[in-house]
Amino acid sequence: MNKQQFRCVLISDFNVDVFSGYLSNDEGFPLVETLVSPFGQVAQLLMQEDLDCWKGDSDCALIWTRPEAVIQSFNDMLAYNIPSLKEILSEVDQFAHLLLNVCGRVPFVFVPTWTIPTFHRGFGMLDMKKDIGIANTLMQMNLQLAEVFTKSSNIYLMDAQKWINTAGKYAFNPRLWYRGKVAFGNEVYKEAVKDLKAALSGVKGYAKKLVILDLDNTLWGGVVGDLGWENIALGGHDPIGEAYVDFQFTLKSLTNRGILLGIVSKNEESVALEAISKHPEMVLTLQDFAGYRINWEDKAKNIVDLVSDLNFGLQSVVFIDDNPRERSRVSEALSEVFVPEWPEDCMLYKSTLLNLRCFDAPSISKEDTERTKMYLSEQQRKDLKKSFSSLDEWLKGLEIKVTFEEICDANLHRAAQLLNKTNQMNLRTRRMSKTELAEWANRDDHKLWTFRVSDKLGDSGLTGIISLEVKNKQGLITDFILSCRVIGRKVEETMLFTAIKYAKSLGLDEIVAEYVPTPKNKPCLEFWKKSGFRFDEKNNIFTWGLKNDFPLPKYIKIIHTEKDDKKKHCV
Amino acid sequence: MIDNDRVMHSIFGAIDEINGQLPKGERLEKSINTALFGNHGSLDSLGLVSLVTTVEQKIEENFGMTVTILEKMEDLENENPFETVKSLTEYLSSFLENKSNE
Repeated sequence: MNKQQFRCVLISDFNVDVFSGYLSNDEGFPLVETLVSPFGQVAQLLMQEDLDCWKGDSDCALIWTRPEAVIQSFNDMLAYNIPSLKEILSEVDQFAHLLLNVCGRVPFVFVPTWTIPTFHRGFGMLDMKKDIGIANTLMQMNLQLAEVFTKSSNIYLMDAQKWINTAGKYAFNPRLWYRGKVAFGNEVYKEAVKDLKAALSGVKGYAKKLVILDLDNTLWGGVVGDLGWENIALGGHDPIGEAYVDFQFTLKSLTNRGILLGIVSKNEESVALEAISKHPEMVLTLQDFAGYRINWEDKAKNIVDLVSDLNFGLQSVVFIDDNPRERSRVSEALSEVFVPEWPEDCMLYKSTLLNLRCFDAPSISKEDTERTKMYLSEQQRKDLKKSFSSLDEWLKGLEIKVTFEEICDANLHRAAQLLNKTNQMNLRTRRMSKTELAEWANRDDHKLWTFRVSDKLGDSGLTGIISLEVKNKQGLITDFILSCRVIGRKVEETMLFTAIKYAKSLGLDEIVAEYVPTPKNKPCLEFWKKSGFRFDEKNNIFTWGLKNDFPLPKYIKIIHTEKDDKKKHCV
Repeated sequence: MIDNDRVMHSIFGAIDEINGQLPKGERLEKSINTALFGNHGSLDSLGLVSLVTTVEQKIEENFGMTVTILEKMEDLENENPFETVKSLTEYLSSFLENKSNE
């Protein structure tokens, strides 16, 4: 047998010949030869190790069962005779331990999670209820399997529900069952083949470890060399910009899985690096990349160069580029590099990346990793539960950071977008072009700050604006704008704190804000009414006497970024 | 009037599907004269089940009709419409014609 070909023992309580056919016919790496055991004899096959199927040098076993076929108490439950959860889980525990027996017979064991046909509605609205619901019980059964499987490092529970979701309408076909005891539709098997192959690749150490990225129209929209970093599509309140930011977040998250990022791009190096370091909406910083080659040379050559520099093999590499010609060039020149087909639409980048199977890898100490994960998950759950006991606690838990800075070249584009698109939390709903906004903000008696908000769960970006016009001893709040993404996190109060502190430093007497009603900005009025400002309802005027400080909300960390050179260059 | 070409298109779609499950030497050609099941056909009983069920799915997709074209394997002893692509096309066209007239 070819060394790259795996032999897989298939054990099931239903007819897996169709699945076996798809698995052994699939020409993707790695090739798999199947050894199908007679169906319906799961327990015997698991208990007896001297059977033919366990002889020879099989690389893995896949044991695929239906819960009602192997857990009698669950079968009773499907007939609405509800046994105790304890009884069911005890049976699951026994079966899971039988599965563990196989771990000593083959190097790797794969067990698809238990599912029931989508047409089985169980108890309807009660189906997720603890101790009653079939769906709830099934989840707990699968979790119990996962729990027992932590005892062995070479058994993997595979999420069959994903296969069923992807297969959709034809995931279950009762005719297939009655005619041939085939439990699932073809699409389920095809998805299972893909996941099993990815898993085999992973356990054998073929998971990808380095993602090499193009820049223009891959990490951001547009060609930075033509547009300048200020004008590339990244972030902001438009679907394209948001999609690129999201894609960058997803790439960054890969680094938490131990996957490295690199850049190979045809660009002027200085121009590209300036964009990475200066663009305020860049999620990925230069420190997130293990290395880069930014020049006008052939990308295949650059990849080889970079990969060798990082001491990786080409088989560990994924290359992502929006340009089909570059992809084709790299595929042809470097057949070991995985070059996924890439969508034209940047709004599909994130989902395409997340759907790649090439990163499926068990770590060397997988058991330990899973224990840590489970522990962390449990901690997070407890924290979340606590956090809902009060608003203050929730805010405290979020660790909100608000960074404010004056309008400048780097934030002007985004500020103008926010100004012109925000409706709900908008005091006066002024609309201005970028140039008009910059001109207004640059006048001596005007001040405009932008606010970026982040918390432990992520960065919301530039989401707030407050501007002030000084007349005699009075400060007039001209704009008070906050994206709905961050409303209610005390950012509103933090913005007022900033403006009031500044006004006090100028020795002003009071700050005044005029609310201009629109059909959409009532939330803004509601906030201001509760803000502590004196309210002249007749004229929609709010006033704060500057003898009093405005309190900075608890648990907000406020950071002032001063970049004098930015203001100077403001258009 | 049921269009024979559309019926054959559904059968060919099912053949594409089934070929993914069959070993290389046993794959079916997409041709009117391809033998499917019976004296000269290469499909075993599970292959036939797969073919029949997939054809039913394709008919549902292409004609919007839910059909059951095989109830019992024993029925095939008297008459076997699954012998070739041609016989299956004729059988299905007539079956669908009758169904649409119901």
